Amino acid sequence: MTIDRQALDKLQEIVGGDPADLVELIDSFLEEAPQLVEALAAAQGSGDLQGARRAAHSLKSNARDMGAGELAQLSAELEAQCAAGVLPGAADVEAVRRALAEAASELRAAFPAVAQ
Amino acid sequence: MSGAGTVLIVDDSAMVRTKLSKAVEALGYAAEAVGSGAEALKRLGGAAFDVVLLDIVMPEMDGFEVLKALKASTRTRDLPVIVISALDEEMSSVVKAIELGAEDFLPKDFEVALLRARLSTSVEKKRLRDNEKEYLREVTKLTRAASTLELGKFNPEKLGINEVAARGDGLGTLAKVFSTMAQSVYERERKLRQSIRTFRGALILIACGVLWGLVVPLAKLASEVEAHPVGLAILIDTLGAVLCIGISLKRGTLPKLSSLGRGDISFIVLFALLSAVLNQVLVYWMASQLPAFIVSIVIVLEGFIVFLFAALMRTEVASLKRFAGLGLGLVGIIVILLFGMPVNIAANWLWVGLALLIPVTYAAEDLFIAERRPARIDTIALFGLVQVVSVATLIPIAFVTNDFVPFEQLSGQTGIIVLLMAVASNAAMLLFMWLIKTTGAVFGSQTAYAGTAAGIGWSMLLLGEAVPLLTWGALALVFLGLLLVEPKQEAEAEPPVLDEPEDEGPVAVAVQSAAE
Repeated sequence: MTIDRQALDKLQEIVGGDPADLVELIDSFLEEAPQLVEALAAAQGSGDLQGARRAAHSLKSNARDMGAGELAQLSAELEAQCAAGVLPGAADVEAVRRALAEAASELRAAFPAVAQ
Repeated sequence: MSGAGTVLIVDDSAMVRTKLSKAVEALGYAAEAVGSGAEALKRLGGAAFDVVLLDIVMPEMDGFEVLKALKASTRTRDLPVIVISALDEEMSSVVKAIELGAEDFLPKDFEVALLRARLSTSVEKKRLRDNEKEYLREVTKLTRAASTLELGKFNPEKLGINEVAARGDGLGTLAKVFSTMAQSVYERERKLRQSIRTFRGALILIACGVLWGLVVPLAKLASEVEAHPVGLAILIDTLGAVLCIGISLKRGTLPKLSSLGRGDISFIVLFALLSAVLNQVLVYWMASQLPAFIVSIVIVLEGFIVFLFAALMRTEVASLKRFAGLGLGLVGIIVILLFGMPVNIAANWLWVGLALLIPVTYAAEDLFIAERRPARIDTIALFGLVQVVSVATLIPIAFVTNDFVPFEQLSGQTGIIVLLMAVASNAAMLLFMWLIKTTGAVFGSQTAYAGTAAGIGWSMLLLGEAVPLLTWGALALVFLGLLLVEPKQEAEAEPPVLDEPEDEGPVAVAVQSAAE
């Protein structure tokens, strides 16, 4: 289990305490995060350092809100790498993709109300 | 809008927008979220927000650019902006945002208590600043109203300080006191201006009357050998036309014929028919049949007729005082007609009845000038054109009625009389047109009173006609009436607009460039 339930509890408290709102946010994350990974892959493929940095930045923040520690960690490293002027490799993107898939399946398992 | 305030959320991530919107709403604020800097500027250009939650890292237009645009416009300069950033590696960004004018920052993984504190502080500051700006705006309004007052041309109703006077504080009291003072200064100045207008109007009126009063006895003198009313009018109007067109050509005020509109042409033609064909011929004809002082006296009725028409058409204020003034004038005339005539006049009652048409035609002229005169054409040029049309209309009538003044009559005394009549009647008509333009039809109609008085005087002087004593007493009544009818109240000029237009500046420019 890599998902941090405490982070999700905090998120639920911030948005007012309604579990339905938390489910809505998880849905939103599961829809947006794969797009961000694809944006990261495209930027990596085309050598767009700033694009890669922005995608990694958003993935990092969103993953933190979801308590997806590994995904957040990998994204933070890639963001820092881009800030230092080094374009991530294809393998880095692949690792992020895997971490997202793992977090997504855990979230779906933990919250049956989330769109499967 | 929520009572706590309205928050604009700017973040490119849909999940973050949802999270922040729900968090803000849970605290009692209204929230609106947009996904880019350009959209944010567009929204801020059109709606009022109390605080902005702004993400820094965004594609195309980042948070720094949004901040710069907001701070560059007077409209959004004071809107508090809270930047959102991950604290760990973005401290330099936060510092830069605060240097650019951000109010505060919020870490991405914020606690509810921190969001509440940041929002309430920002909204409170915004409200204080809004109040302060409003206060300064109203002080500016008051200061500007004071400067306007100093310039002297103002309308107390339109000084733009009614809103300020409605305040419950010291500034409101100051505005109220100022407003009352402005009102009394305005009243005083208005009365002064009115007095000046009355005095100036009275002088022109007397001059006009003296000249006009000369026309009837002169017409009587001219017709003593043989009456030719149409021929006399042709001669006088020809001289008037030559004089006025000549002056207009010299001054360059004569309008091109092609520039005359239908309204201008119909005024010129109708006025020529009214003034030359009807009025002038009628006056000269009556002068040949009745004592000149009787014709002069009948003319005085013009004032009453004009006021009656103007009051019926609601073109001038019909006050009791003005009615009383004109009524008094009428009583005087009736007394003169009933008791003030020489004994041998009884056989001429038919002529007196016809002569009563003269004041009706004068009144019609007066109102026609007041209501229809083309304002853009210079008075002398306009009158010159009228005279040209008059002559053109009178010539065929003279042919038909065989009423030309024989050339041999024009040598000697009659020639001089015709010349004097031309000068007197044309100058009187020009003064009359100018008087109506500046003082209104009712006041202008009082030329008839002055004309009557002068007419009687000239009749006695030039013709040796005797005026019974009772007539003088009745005339005094007529002049008392004159004092009661003041010139019409002139509308005051519009005061300058005191509200400054809002600066749309850089936000509008930024929105436009973002749209491109």
